[in-house]
Amino acid sequence: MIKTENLTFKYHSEQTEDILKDINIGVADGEFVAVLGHNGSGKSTLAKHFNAILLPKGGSVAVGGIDTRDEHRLYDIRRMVGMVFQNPDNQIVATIVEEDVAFAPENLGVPSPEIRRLVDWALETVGMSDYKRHAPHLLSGGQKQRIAIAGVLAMKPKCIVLDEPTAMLDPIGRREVVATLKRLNKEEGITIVLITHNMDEATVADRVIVMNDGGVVMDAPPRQVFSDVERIKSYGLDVPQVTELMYALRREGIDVPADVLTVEEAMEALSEVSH
Amino acid sequence: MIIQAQNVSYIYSEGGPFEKGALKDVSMTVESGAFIGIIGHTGSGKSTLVQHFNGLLRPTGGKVIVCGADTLDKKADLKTVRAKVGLVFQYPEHQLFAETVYKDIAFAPGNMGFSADETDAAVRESAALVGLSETLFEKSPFELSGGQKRRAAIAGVLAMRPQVLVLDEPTAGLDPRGREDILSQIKRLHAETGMTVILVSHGMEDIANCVDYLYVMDHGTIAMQGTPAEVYSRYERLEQMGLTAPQVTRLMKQRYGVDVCTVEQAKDYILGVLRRA
Repeated sequence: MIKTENLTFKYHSEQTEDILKDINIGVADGEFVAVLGHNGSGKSTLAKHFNAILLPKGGSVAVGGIDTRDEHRLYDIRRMVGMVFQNPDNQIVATIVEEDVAFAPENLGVPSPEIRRLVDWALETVGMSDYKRHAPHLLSGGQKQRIAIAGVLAMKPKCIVLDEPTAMLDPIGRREVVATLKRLNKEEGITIVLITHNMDEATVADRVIVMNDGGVVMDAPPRQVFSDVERIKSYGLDVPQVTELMYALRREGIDVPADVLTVEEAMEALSEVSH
Repeated sequence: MIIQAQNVSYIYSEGGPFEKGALKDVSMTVESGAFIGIIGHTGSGKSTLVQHFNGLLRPTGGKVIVCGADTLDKKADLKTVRAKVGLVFQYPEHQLFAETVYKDIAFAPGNMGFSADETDAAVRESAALVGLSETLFEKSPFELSGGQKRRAAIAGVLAMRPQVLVLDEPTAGLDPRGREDILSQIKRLHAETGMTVILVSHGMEDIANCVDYLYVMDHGTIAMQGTPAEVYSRYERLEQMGLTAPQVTRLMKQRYGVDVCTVEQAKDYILGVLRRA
């Protein structure tokens, strides 16, 4: 779906250091990938290369086989990869939910009956059909973010890239958005790239890419990434609390597994050690 | 006590078409020097409540006494109340405006009639309290990193030398390191100055490590209160209210039936159990 080869980037030619340094990653069709990194690690800059908002200064990015520097194919790239940003208030343009969701297909010149079908499907998929005639500004943060996702879905993208979509949401909003992403991935087969610094969200991904200082420093399934507690912390990131607890116990010489991510797994690990 | 809310109700646009009850019969006492937390999901009324603590909002029912002054009392000097209770809003860095960090921090004390020397001392002190280096003083606040901006904004409130510091979601949108930095600065500030601190958050793990006492808001009322361990141990109830208890709390309750709210406490307890066995 997405492939970068020796990708480097900086905003101004006078900048001495590259913001992205020699990045080689691939995202396969239908994969759910989380990109983790602290503020300033380059993760948002990387994400903006995935639908040609930014173009590489060195190396290349290919989306669905198309080089993002090919200007003639820009529309194809943007239809294939939709972006959702952090602040839902900055992404909603219409005063009625369904009109907002219809914005992209209208612009793409999709015929009306087809737009109707797309909008209904998109709202259904994010679980917001009941709100189609509501005013977006009266919805909660999580609901607004799901509307923003529906707006992208209505373009029928193959891949959605989300840049910290839950950073401004409360726990319910976070759960709603993450559950929606999981469903889009499993049921609709949409490739998901989730940029986040929330560890619990990253655990639902198939694979976690950790960025630090403009480079990719880890690229593995969540269980493997988070079990390396010291390394994750050295990048200014956190691990789930139970993973940290297991790490603390191991340091005290207690024989528990390092790759525990959930409360249920921790229960099991602890029941084995005390017998 | 320094702040007392007695049966406070608050209705937005009372009598208008968009009338909305935001607080219902809320009573709370904050002792001087306390470190308390207020949690609740979006719309539970926590921000509305804290805006009563410095007279920004005044109750439509009941009353709020701040440092001895009733905020409903027409003769009460709200300017003094606001100087005593510093309120740091969500995303406070959006309120930075001056040309330099120094001038931004100096704005409130200047307005409150501090002399030039007093203002200078207040700026330096509050910058030190939040761990902001004086080398940044002549920079534009907009050149700072996210975490630095937020600290500069908090310093701007501290420079009024308030007796109470209220922080509404001070870690929202920060990454784990930024979050830890801000929280440890707030903890240090509380320990060093003895200032009363009220922390509003939905980051359960954050709050568990800091506060002595916790209030949980739901639908405009106080649904639970107690020490963090007491409150978090009732995680099923918290989940009904759209909140989540820290992972370790759930684990320790299910596995050992004990109330614990930090990784450190959980580790110590488990080691104790294993060593006795």
